[in-house]
Amino acid sequence: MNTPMIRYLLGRVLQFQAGFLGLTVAVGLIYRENECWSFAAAALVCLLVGTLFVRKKPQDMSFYAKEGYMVVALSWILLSITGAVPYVLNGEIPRFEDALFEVVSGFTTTGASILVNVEAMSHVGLFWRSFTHWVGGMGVLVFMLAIMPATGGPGMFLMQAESPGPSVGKLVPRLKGTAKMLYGMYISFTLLELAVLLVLGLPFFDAITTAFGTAGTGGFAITSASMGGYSTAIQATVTVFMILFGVNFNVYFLMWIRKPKDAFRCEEMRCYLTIIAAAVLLITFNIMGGFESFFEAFHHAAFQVGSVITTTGFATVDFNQWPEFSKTILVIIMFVGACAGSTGGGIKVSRIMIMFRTIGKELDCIIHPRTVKKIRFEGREV
Amino acid sequence: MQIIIVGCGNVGVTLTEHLSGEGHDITVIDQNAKKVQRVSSRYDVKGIIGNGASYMTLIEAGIETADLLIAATGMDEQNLLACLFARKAGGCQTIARVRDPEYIKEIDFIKEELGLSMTINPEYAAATEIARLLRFPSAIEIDTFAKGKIELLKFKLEAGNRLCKTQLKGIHGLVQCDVLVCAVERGGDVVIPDGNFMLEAGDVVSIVASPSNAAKFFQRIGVETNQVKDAILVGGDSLSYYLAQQLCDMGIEVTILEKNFARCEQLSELLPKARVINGDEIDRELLLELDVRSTEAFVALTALDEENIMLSLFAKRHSKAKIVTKVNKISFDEIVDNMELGSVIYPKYLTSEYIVRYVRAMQNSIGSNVETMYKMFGDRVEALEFQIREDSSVVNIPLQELNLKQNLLICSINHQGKIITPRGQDRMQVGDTVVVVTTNIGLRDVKDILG
Repeated sequence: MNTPMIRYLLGRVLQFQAGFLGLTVAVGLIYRENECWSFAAAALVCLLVGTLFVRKKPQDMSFYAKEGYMVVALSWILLSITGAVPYVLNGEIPRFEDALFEVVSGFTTTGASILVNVEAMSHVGLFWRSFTHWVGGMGVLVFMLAIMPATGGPGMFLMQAESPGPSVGKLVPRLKGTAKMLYGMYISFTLLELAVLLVLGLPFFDAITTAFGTAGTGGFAITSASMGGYSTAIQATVTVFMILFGVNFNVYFLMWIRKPKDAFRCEEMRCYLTIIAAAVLLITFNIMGGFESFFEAFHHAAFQVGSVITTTGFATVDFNQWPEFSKTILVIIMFVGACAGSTGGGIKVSRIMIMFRTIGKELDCIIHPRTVKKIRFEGREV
Repeated sequence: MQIIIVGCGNVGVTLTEHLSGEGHDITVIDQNAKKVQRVSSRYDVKGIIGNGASYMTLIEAGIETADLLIAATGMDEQNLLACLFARKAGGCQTIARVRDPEYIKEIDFIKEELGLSMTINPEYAAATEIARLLRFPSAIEIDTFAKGKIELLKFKLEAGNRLCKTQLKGIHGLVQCDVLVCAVERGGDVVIPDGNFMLEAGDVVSIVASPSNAAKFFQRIGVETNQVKDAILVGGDSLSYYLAQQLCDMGIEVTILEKNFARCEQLSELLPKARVINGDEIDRELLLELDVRSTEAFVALTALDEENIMLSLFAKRHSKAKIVTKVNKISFDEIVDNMELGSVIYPKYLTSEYIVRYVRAMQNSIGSNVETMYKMFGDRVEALEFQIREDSSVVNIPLQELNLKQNLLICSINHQGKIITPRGQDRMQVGDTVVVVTTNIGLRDVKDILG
């Protein structure tokens, strides 16, 4: 195990964390809130420790899968701890374990909260909570790869360790280029959503936290009613973006390089959209009785399906009141999850598809024991 | 630059390592998924599984925007096909590894018809390198440029040499062979000399010459070249054949030891001048019988690296010969380099070095009419290769009538595949490739050579 190299990379991670916290401090200064001092303190400590760690560049740059997983695991732990401390220091979440829960929930884009009264939180506190979603969505190490000078060695193993999908595909030959591209798309979509929400009349703070929550498919909202208090147009916008962030980013890349045909050929995206469409229709017909119009039922069904399949977790209505059939569908699609290579969670559509094809193959083998069959996915053998 | 490498074998991986390290964007293609995975997890490159000679795979690899495709699979046909498709689909430059002697014979035709920028034959490259080692002592440095077509020999003029205090225009009369002095380093300055330039002791002189002329030249000016008189080559593969051919051409007595009888017959047919011995390569008694003790050169070229190392150690113990060892696969460089194996030749490194040099030259020439550019003498001299595509103010005029820039020399003209060392009456013609050596850094077009 190459300890100096791990130390060096963790130092870098801490420096980035200092930057993220610094941004939060800026928000606090804008709203003139006293709570922001604790974030400043945490940022300073991160910066100091981080700089100390990176001061000596390691001689031995060898870096393998083992080191990759080590760095990823340790860096998430570090990020979570340093992210939780400010809440404890300024007393907004007095118990450390509660604060840690909240921040881990944020970074992992889980979206579960221990906060009883969200409205009582300061702007800084709420911003940081939502911001962890945004950082966690694409991953801080991918961000690091995008910004750090191309070192060659550690990159690929870090990416492998960080990526949730079954396999890592590069968009362009250089890892740095790939990471930049991913963040470029991520930032563009976030800004786009922000713009649309602003146009629809959402206050800036609500808009940016909602955008962060959607982009990372996290689900922290800044009101207890989640999205319930917003207008139908805003809820619809969030629905669309939740679904968009659940699509494999390769699809967007293909569109970017003007290969829309290849983009629409993506089997996983087609399957994902089909699942959504089917789930939305089934639930709409099931819950129609409880709403005034078909449109309203469709709207809420679409929002819930988008929120659940990407594991975002925003809510407009309490779907616990819905019939069992709808709830069952929601639970199923929660397991299925979004596409690989997206910010969404779950088992991922591609794995489910491969699983079903394997089942098909096994059945074939039972019927014709001498069958030779290879499982293909996206036009390739698995 | 965006480079696509087809084939993740020995050469492909070495190339990937070097070119990726120099900051190029690399995409590798191989049919073997495991190999692709190994390469793309070790280096920062994109890997694609598929047949590099298939159009779809090339498109997937981004051939449309690529600058260069290097085909280095083990199969010549696949390499050539990949290059052809790449050329048609993306219009990028292409380099192919071609090793079949049948194709090597018609390589100029293939290059022309398929629009290849360069072909490389690892065995031939290695053989040429070994021949150089046996031909000259280490005091003479050899550099190649213009895709290996031109050889540049650099040596230090010792006091008392007959060339001291000679004007360059008098050299030809003195040595009676075709050489061109193209650069002289004196007291830290590099000059491109003209006919009136006077050589002095201590100058580091670079000459351009064909291999046989170079040997004659050194002999005539009295520089001891230590060219060996005989050589034992152990192993009779194609590298050995190429080497034997070159050595025979230089008048060196060659003995080849090969295990396979049929191959021996083949070799003796191909190389009438060489002595071909059929016998076990690691037979100690046989080696002694072949007079390892008194041979002047011993080259271990069997297919097994371990055998080669053993053989060289044995030769080292029993003779004072120049020893050359071929190492194909073993990557424990630090161990191999510390053994007494004489000069160690790694064909894969050589091949990749040639290609890397070409890529560098290609990158240097981006944005100008220069085909390729090489830097020499620590970046102070540039050797530029121009293709004459159209009639201009420099074409079809005897060189002596051109008003050339100071410190500039036209050191070779490739006229329809024939390399000419130009004199005053020669002229450049449309379709020729010329190599210009100059200290005027930054020429962009062949017309810039005029003062």
